[in-house]
Amino acid sequence: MFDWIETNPGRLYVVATLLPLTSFAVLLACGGLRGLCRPFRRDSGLASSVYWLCGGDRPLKTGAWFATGMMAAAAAIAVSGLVLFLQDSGKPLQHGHAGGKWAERMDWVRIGSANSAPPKEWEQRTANEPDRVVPQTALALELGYKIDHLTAALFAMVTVIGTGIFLFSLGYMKDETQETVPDHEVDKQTPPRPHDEHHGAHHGQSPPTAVGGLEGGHHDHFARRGRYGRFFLYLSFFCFSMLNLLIADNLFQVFVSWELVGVCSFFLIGFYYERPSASRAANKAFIVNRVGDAGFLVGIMLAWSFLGTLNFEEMNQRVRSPQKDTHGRLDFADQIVRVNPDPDRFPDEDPGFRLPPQEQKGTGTHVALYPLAWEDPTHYHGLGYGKHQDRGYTVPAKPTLTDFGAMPYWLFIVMGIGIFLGCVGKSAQVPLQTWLPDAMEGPTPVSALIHAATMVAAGVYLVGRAFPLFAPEVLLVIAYIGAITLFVSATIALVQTDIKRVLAYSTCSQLGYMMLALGVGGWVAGLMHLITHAFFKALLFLGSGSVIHGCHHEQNLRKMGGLFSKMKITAITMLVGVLAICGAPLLSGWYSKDAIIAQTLGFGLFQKDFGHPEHVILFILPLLTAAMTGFYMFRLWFLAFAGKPRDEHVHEHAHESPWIMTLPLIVLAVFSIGVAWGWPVWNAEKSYLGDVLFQAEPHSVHVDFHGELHEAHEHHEMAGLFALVAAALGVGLAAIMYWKPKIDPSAIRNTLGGPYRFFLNKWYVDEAYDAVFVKPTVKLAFVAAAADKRPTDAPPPPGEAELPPRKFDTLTLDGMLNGFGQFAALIGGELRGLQTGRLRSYILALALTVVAMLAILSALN
Amino acid sequence: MTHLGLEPFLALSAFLFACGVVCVATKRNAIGILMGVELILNAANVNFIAFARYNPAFRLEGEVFALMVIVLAAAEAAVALAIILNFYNNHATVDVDKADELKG
Repeated sequence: MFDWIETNPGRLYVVATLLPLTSFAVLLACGGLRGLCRPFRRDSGLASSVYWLCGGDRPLKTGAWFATGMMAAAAAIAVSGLVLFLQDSGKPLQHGHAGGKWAERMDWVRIGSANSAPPKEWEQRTANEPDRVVPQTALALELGYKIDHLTAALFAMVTVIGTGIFLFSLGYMKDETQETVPDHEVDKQTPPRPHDEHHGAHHGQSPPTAVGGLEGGHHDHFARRGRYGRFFLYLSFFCFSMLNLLIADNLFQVFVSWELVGVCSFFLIGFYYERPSASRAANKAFIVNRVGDAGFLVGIMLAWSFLGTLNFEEMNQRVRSPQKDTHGRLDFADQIVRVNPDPDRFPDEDPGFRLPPQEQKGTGTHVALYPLAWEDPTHYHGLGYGKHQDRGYTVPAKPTLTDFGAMPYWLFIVMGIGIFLGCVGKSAQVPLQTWLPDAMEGPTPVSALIHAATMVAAGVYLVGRAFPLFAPEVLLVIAYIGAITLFVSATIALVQTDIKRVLAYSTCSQLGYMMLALGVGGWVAGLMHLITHAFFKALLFLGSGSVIHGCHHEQNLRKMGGLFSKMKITAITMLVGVLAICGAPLLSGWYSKDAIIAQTLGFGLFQKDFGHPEHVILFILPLLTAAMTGFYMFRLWFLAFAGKPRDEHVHEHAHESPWIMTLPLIVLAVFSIGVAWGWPVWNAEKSYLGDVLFQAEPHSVHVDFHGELHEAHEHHEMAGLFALVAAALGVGLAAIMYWKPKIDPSAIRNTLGGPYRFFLNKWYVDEAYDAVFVKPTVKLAFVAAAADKRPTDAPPPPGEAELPPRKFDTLTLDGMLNGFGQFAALIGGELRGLQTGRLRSYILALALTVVAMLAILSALN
Repeated sequence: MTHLGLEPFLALSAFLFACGVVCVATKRNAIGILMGVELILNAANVNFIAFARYNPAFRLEGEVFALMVIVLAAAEAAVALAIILNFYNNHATVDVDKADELKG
C-alpha cells in the first residue's frame, strides 16, 4: 500500500477522491437494503434483521458521522498531499513540471484497436518521406489525474471547507433525525384543499401526506420521514464528483464529473421536494445548466474532432506553438499561430500550407495545430504526424498541412465560446445566472457547499484550466460577461431582504469578478479570488445558516436586528466574512480583490495606449461594484446583528447555535483571515497563495498578456487604493443608513422607486425568459396536447360532447400506424386461403418448390 | 461381379424417392402416407450407401448414417402410428383429408 503510493504520490489524491465515494456507496447500500427489507420487516426473520442492522426506523445517524469522518480523512490527505507536492515541486516561483510522479492516465474506452491500420492516403505519403512515423488512428477516452499547484490548492480548499460543512450539517440538519418531520413550508405553499371527510382515512390524491407508509393522523399538517442519511449521501457523492473534477486531466472526465455535480446539486436543491418552490428551483437549476452544457458539449466535440485529444496538456500543446524549435521558424512560443492554408496564394509551398511570417500571425484564417511529442508510440492520440526522437520532436524541414494540421479560426472561437458557455451555466454568469438565487431553496449547508465554495467554482476552475484554448476574442467575451455579471448581481443584492438571497447575489457578483480577472489575463488573481472567496463565502453562508437556525427558520432580514448580544460567535465570525468580502486590508479578500482590480486597471491602461480606450469600463464596473459590495454586505450585517430588534418574537427566541455549528464558523473565519497571507503581510502583492498558483499558470498567459501584466504590476497600489476607498464609501453609506440611521432607507426607496423596483425584480430577467422561452414552450405543449387529446377513436367519456373527426391525426401518425396494422391484417387474410389443411397439397407444394430450386440452381451453374 | 458405378444407384434412389413423394401426395389413407414416407427414407438410405461405397473416404460415415436413418425410420413409424391410432380413436377414420381442423 505504501509502496504503491510512494512511487506515485499523486495516488494520494485518488484515494482522497474515492473516500467520499466510499461513504456514498455505504450509505446507499444501507439505505437501499433497508428500503428493500422495509415491507417484510414484520414477517421474515432475515429481512427484519437486515432492516434493523441498517438503521431501523430512524434515519441513519451513524452513517452521517461516517461520511463526515471520511470527508475529514480526505481533508487530512489533501493537506498532507499539498505539503508533499509543494516540497516536491521545488523552489517557489519556478516554472516547470513536478514530474510524472503526480500524473497518470489510462484508457477508459478505446475506439479502435491500438494498432489499427493507417488511413489510405497515408500510404501514398510514406513512400517518399520515410522518416515520418505512421500515425496510429486509434482514439481513446481516458481516465487520468494530474496534480499541479492549482489542483492541489483547490483540492485542499474543497476538502477543508467540505469537512467544515459536513460538521455544520450534523448540527443544522438535526431535525431530520426524527422519525417524522413536519414541514410547514409545504402547508404554506400548497393551496388549502377541500377537506374530504367522505374518504375517511384516505386523503385522496392531493399532496402526499407522508413518505412510505407513515399513516399519521395529520389531517392539516404535512409531515414526512426524516432524511438525515440521505442528505449526507448526496453531500458525499457531491464531494466525490467535485474532487474528481479537480484531479481530472482531460476534458471528458471533467465533463462527466461536471454532470455528476449538476445532478447532485439538483438533488440537494430539491431536498425538500414536497415544497413546490424547492422542486421548481431544482428543475430550474438543472434545466438552465443544460443550456450551458449543450455549449460545453459542442466545445468538447470540436476539440475532439480537430485536436484529436481531450487531455488538457496535449490540447494546449497542439494549439499553442511549441517552445523549442530546431528550425527557427516557430519561435513565438505559446502563441496561437494563425496561418493561411491557401494553395492559390502560395503555389510554391508543399500542398499549399504556409507558416506565416511574423506579421501575418493575426490575419490567418486557420489556427496551426502542432504535432504532439509522445513518449509511448503505441499510445498515440493526436492526428499530427512526425518523427519521434529522444523524447523530443523534430519538425520536418518543409512543413505541410499534413505535418501540422489546421483548424478554422472561427471554429476555434466557437470551441472556446462553447467551453465557456458550460462555465457560464455552472458559475451562474449572465445570461444564465437566474438559477443560483433560486437554488437557495436547498438547506443552508448546501448553499454553502455548492453555491459558494465548490460547484459554482467549477466554472471558474475550468476557464482557468482550459485557458490556453481560448482565443483573444473569447477572452474578451469572458471579461465582458464577468463584468456585466458582477455589476448586475450586485445591484440586485442591494435591495434583497432574504438573508440567503443577498448572499446568493453576492456570490454571482464575486464569480463575475473571477471571470473578469481571467478574461483580462489575471489568471492568478482570478483563481486566488476563487479560493479566498470560497472560504469567506462558505463562512458567510454557514453564518447565515446559524442565524436562520437560531431564529427558528426566519430568513427575512427585516425581522431580525439586535442579534449581536444573542449570538456573539456567529456575529463576530460573520463580521470577519463581511470584512473579507469587502476587501478590508490584511484579510484574504483584500489580496485577491486588489489583484483583480489592478489587473483590470492594467488591462484598461494597456488597451488605451494601443487603441481600445473603451475597455476602461472593465475597470470602472468592478470599482463601482466594490462600493456596492461594501454596502450590501454591511447592510446585511447591520440589519441582522446591530440596532434594535425589529421583531420581538424572533428576538426573544433567538439563541446561539451548538458548538458543532460554531466550530466550523471559527475555523472558516481563521481561514478567511489568513489564507492568502504572505510575507510581508501588509504588501498586497505578496501572497503565498498567489505564489503557489502562479506556478501553475499556463505560459501562454505571459505571452498573451505581457503588457497588461506589467501595467497591473506598476499600478497595483493605486488600484488597491481605489478599491479601498470605494469599499469604504459603501460601508459608510450602509452605516449611516442602517447602523446609526441618519438617512431613512424607506425615504430613498420612495424617491428612487423606479430603480428600486427594477433591482428588486432582478432586472426582470426571469420575466423576460418566461415570456420568451417558457411561455411559448408551454403554449406549444398545450397545442400538441390538444391535437392528441383523444389518442384513440373511442367514444367520448360520458358527459362530453362528441368531438369533430380529427382529420390531421388520421392522416398522419394515427393513419400511418393504423395503416401498418391494416396492411398486416390484409396480407394475412389473403394468405389464409393457402392453408387448406390438406396434407397432400402441402406435400405437393414442398416437392414442387424443391424441384424449382434445383432447376434454379442448375440454371445458375 | 461387374462394377456398376454410381449412377444406377442414384437412379434407383431417385425412382424410389419419386414413388415416395407421389405416394405421400396422392394417398388419402394415413397408413399409405406412412408407407410413402418409408419409401422416401429408404431412397435416402440407398443414396448414403451408394456414396459411401463410391467414395471410400466416406465409407464409415455413410454406413453409420444409413443405420441411423433406419433407426429413425422405426421411431418415426412408431410415433406416426400412435398419432394415426389416436386420430382414429377420435374420428373413426384414417382419412387425412378429414384432419383439417387446424386450417386457417
